[in-house]
Amino acid sequence: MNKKVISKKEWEEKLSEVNISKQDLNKLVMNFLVIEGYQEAAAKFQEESGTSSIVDLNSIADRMAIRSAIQSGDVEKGIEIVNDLNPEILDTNPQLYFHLQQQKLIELIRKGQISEALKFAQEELASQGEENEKFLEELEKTISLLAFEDTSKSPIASLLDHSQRQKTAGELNAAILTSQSQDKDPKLPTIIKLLKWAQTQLDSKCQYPRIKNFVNGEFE
Amino acid sequence: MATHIYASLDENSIKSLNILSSDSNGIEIRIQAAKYIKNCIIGNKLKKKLFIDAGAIPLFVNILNKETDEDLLIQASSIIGSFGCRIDEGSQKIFEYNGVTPLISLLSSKNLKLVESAARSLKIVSLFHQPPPSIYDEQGVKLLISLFNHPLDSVKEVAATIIARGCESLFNQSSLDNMEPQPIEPNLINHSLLKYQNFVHIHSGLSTMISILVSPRSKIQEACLYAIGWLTRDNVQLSSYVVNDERKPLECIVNLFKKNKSPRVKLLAVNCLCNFNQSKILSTSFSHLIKNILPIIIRLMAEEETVKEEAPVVLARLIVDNEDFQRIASEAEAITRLGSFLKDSSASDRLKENSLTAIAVLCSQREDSRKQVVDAKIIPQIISSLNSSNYAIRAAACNCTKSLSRSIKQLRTSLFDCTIATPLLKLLDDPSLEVRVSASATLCNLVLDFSPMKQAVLDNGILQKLVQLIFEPHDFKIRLNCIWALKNLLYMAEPSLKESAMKELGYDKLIDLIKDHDSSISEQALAVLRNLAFKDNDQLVSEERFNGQMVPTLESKLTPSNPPEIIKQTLFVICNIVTNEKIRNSVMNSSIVNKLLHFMEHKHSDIRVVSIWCVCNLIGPDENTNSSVRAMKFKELGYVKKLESLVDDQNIEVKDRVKTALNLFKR
Repeated sequence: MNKKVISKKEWEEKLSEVNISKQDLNKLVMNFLVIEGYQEAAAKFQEESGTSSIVDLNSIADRMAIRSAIQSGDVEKGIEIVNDLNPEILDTNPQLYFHLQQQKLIELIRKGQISEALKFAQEELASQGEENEKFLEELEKTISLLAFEDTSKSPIASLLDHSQRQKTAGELNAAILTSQSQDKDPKLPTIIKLLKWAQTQLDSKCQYPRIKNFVNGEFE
Repeated sequence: MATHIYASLDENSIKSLNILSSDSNGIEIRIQAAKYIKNCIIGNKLKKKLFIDAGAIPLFVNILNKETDEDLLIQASSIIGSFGCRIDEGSQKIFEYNGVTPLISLLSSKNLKLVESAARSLKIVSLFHQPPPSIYDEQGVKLLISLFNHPLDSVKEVAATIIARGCESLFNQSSLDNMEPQPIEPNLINHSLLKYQNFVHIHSGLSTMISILVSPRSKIQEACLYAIGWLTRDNVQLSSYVVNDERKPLECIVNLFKKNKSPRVKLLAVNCLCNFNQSKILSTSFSHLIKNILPIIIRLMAEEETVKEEAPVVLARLIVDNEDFQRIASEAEAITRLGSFLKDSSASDRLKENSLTAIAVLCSQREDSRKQVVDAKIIPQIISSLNSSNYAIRAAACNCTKSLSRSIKQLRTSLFDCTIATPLLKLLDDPSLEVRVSASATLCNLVLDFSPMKQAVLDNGILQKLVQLIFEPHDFKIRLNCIWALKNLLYMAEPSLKESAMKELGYDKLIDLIKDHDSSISEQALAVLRNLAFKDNDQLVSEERFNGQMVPTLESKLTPSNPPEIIKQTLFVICNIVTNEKIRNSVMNSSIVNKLLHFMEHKHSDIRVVSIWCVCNLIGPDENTNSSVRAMKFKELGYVKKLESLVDDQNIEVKDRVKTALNLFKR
């Protein structure tokens, strides 16, 4: 079977029939900048395109500061900023609060501050463990890190990986976005995935001006 | 581990409290101390409790009242909010120390961050406890609505949520009022749900929320749906305002239901649709939509706790009064799902109550649904819920038994074994009016002749109880249900039962009830007399026992101004009592003999039928007691002519009766 051939001219004619408002495109860009945390770019974009963001742009900076605090091991600072931003986030999300406390415990263990770690676990985390069996289990697992002289030999050494910090930071970031009525992920990457999928579908049916490079929109 | 819980505040915490208690410290130091406390308590119940015990709440309320530094005020209002979050004693203490008033006055601040913080704390207090009374007065409503102008969505959301909670709590209050009359606070002008809804609307609250709803933003749409659902609850005027609004909120709500992924948004959208449906303002095409919605609501019962808890009651409201909807819901396995909640010991009270309510509606009309309840083996759970200490559960369980008791088949097969008698009779004295009404309605069905529970109920002293409640002036529905139950109890009853019933009730009292100004009570009282007189070989019904009052009373009921039901019952009574010769004579000497003629051409065919029955019974059948004299009298009054004119009546039963009567005259 011969594939149908669509010329560049035909293709562009068809494209121009689809009505996409500039405003929607701008919103898409703003959505990406806000969620990914590009505060300055978002502010500039807002100024130039007139697209307003539905969140206070300063909160982007806060969100990024929270993320970097946790990724650098300063959980306490992260908690302080999030509580300034919106105290409800940690007050109504026991699991997230527990994970932050757990991360704090992990950081203490990482620094070898054993007695502080034990004190913290007893005074701050034990009561949460009593309220929730799942938390207790996770707490016990974390504490067992202390049983190894060389924590890297522990079967749960992964708790000390950087990826654990990223996981905690990601969970907190998602909760902040939800509290601001934002999606957890920007829309743009999903749309690009859809585009890729659609092209693969089309490839088997016809020849058309195919986008080769998604970054600069270059055709084949 | 419990010993650790006994912990006390650490040094830094105590130091922070001390810094804040004294005015002599610099403002920066005080702000830092407040921040320290804030970061300690957020998310941490134990710390909250320790700080509350150390007197932190009055301390921070005092700061809110007196302090002028906005940064400290922001910290203090966040702290008050956190003390109210997920800990009951926190919100109680906040109310006790009047912490809500300064929060409300902070809403008018020019500092947006401060407004945000105060509004958020108010929302928390409203969600976890009850909305402060001040949100019901004019100033409060205006302030809340002004929050919709705040640039932050989260503050708008707070306003919508507090308004919704305001309505919800008035609604719940009205069901509590049912239990015992409560004094209405005079300074609250909006003490009823309807008034509050309309008040919010007048100040353009509903319109503002519609604007937000139709603009595509997720989380704040949820809060608006919640609020619109409450503002249109049981309110036809506001429901049609939403449905007819040119911004097309109805379309938006339907789309949110269809397309939004969040189960909570789906449920809130259905809740709005449910209000519109109950207001009967939706076009008929919507019934198709509702049919499709029903199975989805049942699926929502598998979702997160808050959705699961409320879904059954939304289902119940949607299908009430519509047998077809009830069928669709039953066929979508609603009863199995609801029954599993009743069997689940970890289910919350609210979930149990709402499940029982939904089961009650599902079984209200359909025999198949009742069978599903039996098959689901949840009768024991329903009966034991009658003993619950939670009034709402008792009321809902009682509604279930009422619906189930409508099934003759289930009654005969002792659907409820005799264990139901004791709790049910106890419920006739329940503090809740709703429960008493529902219990008395269930009893009506349980005392029917073929019910195996009849004897158990009698053994528990039902007669005394019924008679006592019939004469209690408080509530019409209970009086009606009780006299109805008495009537059912006497239907084809043994003479001994009839005799004890009359001993309890008294003949004079029965006459009083027949004369009751309420026609439904009067109708049932006539039916009691009718059942008493049926096959009355022991002459329990006689002119002497009624002190000569019976025939004159019946005479007075036979005026055209009385409702047809009363006339019909009176005629039935006459039919039954004239088998007694003495009574027959006094009827023959009363104006009843003239009145029957008019009722033979009454527009209701069943009244035509009984009035002819009466004539037949008055003439015959015992031929040796001057029946021909009586026949002659009727003939003179024009009865035969009237009967002949009815030979071709369009009603077949009337025709048959006419034939019988004419034959009697030919004798």
